[in-house]
Amino acid sequence: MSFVAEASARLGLPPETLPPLQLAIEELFTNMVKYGGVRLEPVEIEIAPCPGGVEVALTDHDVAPFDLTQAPPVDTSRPLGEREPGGLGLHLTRHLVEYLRYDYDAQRREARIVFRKLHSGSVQP
Amino acid sequence: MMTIESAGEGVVAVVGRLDAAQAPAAEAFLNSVQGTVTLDAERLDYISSAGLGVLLKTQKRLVSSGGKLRIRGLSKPVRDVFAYSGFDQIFEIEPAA
Repeated sequence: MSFVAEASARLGLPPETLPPLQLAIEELFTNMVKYGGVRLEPVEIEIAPCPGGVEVALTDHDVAPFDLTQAPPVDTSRPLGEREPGGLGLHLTRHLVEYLRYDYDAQRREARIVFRKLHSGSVQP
Repeated sequence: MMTIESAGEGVVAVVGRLDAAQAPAAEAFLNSVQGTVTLDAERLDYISSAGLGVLLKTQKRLVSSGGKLRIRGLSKPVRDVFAYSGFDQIFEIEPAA
């Protein structure tokens, strides 16, 4: 995840943007790897500035469609005995980012997830 | 990078980043603790769902045998992740010593 810190510094992002940015990227990446099946190419991660924040795209090549952004919500109010590990990654990501979208190109067998993290106080463009 | 080690009677210190890559090492260590344990997380910089899963499994195991895992000293980003996950309701969280 050090590449995220390097990109964040290069783009001049506010320091408070880095922890949620790293967390969202880790959660989406690990879910893509876990559920995307066998792949021959690495997942590509692009980080670029957008109005009021930063936009990240994760692209997974030659995989079957699997829209992990549709994972069911987690009831975080349940007591310990009813909580199970798993499912929290997407839950956290939804909390942390302002925009989350999954697209699948069937012809190219390419899955792409885009999210935006706005700086504190920014308004969704 | 993450280190997890015993820091005195009933205290375990975790330092660094508890992410998907480090979660197996943390789980292996925490599988050996018994009773009521305080996890000193004052120098824990980052935690992801993989790390949360390890803490949840440890808490379930300890509670089932009459103990528990307490958390001490969370940074704001880590405390936020605990709150979003509802983990602030299933762990006793103490301020930094």
